[in-house]
Amino acid sequence: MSSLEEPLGFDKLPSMSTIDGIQRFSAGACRPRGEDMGMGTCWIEGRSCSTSNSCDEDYEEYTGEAFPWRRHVRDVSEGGAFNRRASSLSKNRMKCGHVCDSRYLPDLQYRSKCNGRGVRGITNKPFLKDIPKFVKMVEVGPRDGLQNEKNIVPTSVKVELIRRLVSSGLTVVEATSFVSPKWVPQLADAKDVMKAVHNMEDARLPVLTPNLKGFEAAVAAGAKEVAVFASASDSFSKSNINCSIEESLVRYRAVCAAAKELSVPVRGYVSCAVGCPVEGAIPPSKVAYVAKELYNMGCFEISLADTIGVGTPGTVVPMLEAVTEVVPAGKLAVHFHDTYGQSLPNILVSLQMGISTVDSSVAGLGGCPYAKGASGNVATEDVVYMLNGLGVKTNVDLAKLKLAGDFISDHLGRQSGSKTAIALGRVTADASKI
Amino acid sequence: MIAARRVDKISRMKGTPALKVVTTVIGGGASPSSSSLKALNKESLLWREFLYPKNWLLGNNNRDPGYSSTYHYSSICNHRPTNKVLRNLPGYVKIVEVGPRDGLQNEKEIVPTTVKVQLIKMLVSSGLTVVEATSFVSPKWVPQLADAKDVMDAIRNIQGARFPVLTPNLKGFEAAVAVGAKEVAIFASASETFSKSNINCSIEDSLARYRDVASAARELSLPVRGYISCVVGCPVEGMVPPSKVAYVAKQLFDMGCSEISLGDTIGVGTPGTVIPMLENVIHVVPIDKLAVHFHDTYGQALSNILISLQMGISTVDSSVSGLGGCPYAKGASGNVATEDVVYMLNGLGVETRVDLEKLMLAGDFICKHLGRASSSKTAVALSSKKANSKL
Repeated sequence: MSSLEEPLGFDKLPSMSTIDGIQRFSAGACRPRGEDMGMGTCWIEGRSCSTSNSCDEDYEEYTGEAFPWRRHVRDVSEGGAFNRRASSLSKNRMKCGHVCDSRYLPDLQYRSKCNGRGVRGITNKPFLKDIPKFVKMVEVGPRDGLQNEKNIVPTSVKVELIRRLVSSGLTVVEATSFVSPKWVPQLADAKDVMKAVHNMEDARLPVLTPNLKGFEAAVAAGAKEVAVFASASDSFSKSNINCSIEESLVRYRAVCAAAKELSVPVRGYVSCAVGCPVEGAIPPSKVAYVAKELYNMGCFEISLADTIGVGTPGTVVPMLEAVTEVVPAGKLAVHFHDTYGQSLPNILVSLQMGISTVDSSVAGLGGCPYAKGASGNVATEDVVYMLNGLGVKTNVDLAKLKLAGDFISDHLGRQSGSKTAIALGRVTADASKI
Repeated sequence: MIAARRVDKISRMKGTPALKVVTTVIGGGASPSSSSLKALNKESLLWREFLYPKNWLLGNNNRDPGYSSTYHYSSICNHRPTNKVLRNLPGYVKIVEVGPRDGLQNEKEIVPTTVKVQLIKMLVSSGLTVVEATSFVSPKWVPQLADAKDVMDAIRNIQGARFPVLTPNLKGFEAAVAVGAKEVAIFASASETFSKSNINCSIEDSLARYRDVASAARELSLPVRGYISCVVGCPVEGMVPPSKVAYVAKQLFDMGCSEISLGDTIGVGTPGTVIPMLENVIHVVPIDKLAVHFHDTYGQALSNILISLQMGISTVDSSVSGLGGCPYAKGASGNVATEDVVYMLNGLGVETRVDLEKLMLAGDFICKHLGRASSSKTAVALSSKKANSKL
């Protein structure tokens, strides 16, 4: 027996060429579902786009998170003493010759425990008991993500991205923004995008509207849902939208009133919900004040945005405590930026506080304009991976989502901002070289 | 610069009631006089340096001391959080820095001994009290750490920190002790397949080896840290049963390990799998003897760390700048970045006694040498802010 081996002698292991995770998703995860969750579960080609954490009873025996890869064991004929040894550890694999058979899944798959009780099936800890069973993902990639891109993305690419996102199971995809093209040239094609997508079924496609004029343009272009954008910081409000918080709220009351007339739902954002690049820490009471104003004027949902990503659970929890005193938790969403790598723990505590709507951006699209080179939005894939692992339903198919992320990342000519996507992608890339 | 929260922190450290006095000096002025202040994190300083460009030009930097308390993002709590979500967090978390060993061992280009030693020095000066220095495995397998003896010679006299080293067996242990190691670490697996492929023997055989190391260490009163790899998932076996992890943990504990570090080697864990694993292990090993070692391959490390803290864990392994990729998913990330962990713990009001700014300097240093950007988002964000503020 050799001595002084180094733990983690990776070079001795067969290469990590797991291949079938993605295949497995399409083969096994998407099954016809008996019930309509009422969340816009889509049927594509006769199959539901539910994700690997769908609560089909067949999957009950699975435990672990939705870990969509497993080790690919090379065909024994390829040789290698280790391969044979590893193969012999799992006779089933030998019989099959490859690992795509869903019968092997229970042994090897990382699936979240889908027993319908979600996290309560995992533990009784008090800090987990309020985690919702279902989380609605609000995808902001096409708007919040792309608006920061320097190079103009063609309309057709935007539309294709939206289409792919919807087909992954996302039921709310922020499509574009009706702000002046002078400020956001990237989204100057808002009308064309809306024209191309407004008939897409199975998903809601809200658009940003900074004022009544934008609202009217949005409705004329076919928008059926809009969003307005206030700030918890006066300085940020003034520098970002050229008016104070109060003035912006006046504008938005006009939008809400007009929207009410047309039965168009309005989503309210509160930016700088934790910190502001000018003012520093934002008092939770301020956030609560703005949230309450938006709620009172008719917003059906308020998204609390940590615009510069400085929040940690230590600041997020007091902020949510303050806001949930004046707006029901069920009407709140959280929108974290991953600039300091804190968004997943922030999302986790938000869920623990009873929040059940999370904004995110495919492939982590959208940098941080305040810290050059730093990251911005949290990546949808990473969030879905965590939620799958927690046994929280999202109805999002991670594999399809990753493909949407790949699509836009390829177009932008850079790597995905999602660690989950990269990890899965590397694993698949290795596998494909067989 | 002293801010309300720092004063609060000093008070808490000294056991006196929290103060609300704010004293700020921007752009120089009196530096902190108390040595205890040095131990405080300074990331909020970096925040203050970044102001919206317009304000700098206008000279309107809001220097009113009364304003300064709003600048800080360190959210050092002057009271223990009462919300049930954060109520039971430990007051202090020990960070075990594994960058020089676990981080560097994956680098293809050999890092000169001098650079390794300088890195270790800078890490120690940031306040880290446990820095895994190197590994006494065969240079045949890990050429990067072939200079283990030289590294140990060079750091022999550094005070203020412990330097555990990896020892795969008795031979490695003896080599380590011969060059002055005062603490060692051993490495078992919760996955039989991984154990066989990684260290060429079964879990039981490895435990037998380690019992030798542990008893030799006991003779010399040297602490032994036990690692368990694949505590959530294995690249070959898939999911690893929590009971298996508990079994190995207990074995390591019974043979005399002073601490057991639970490693999610391939980074696949989420709170959904981390919790059952921890619950099983806590059943057989006292929680204060446990540490968590998460990889950020799927971006899950910080949320896993948070959930571990909520479960009562108070020792966290991490690697400066997120050094150390994932050998199982090429190009994917590996170790969680110490800077990101410290940022989160600071925000939670959890003591680490690590100076984030100095830690970032250490990270900068090694990244410059390696010729690439830091994998720590906190470091990237704060460095960018600093760069921007040079107007």
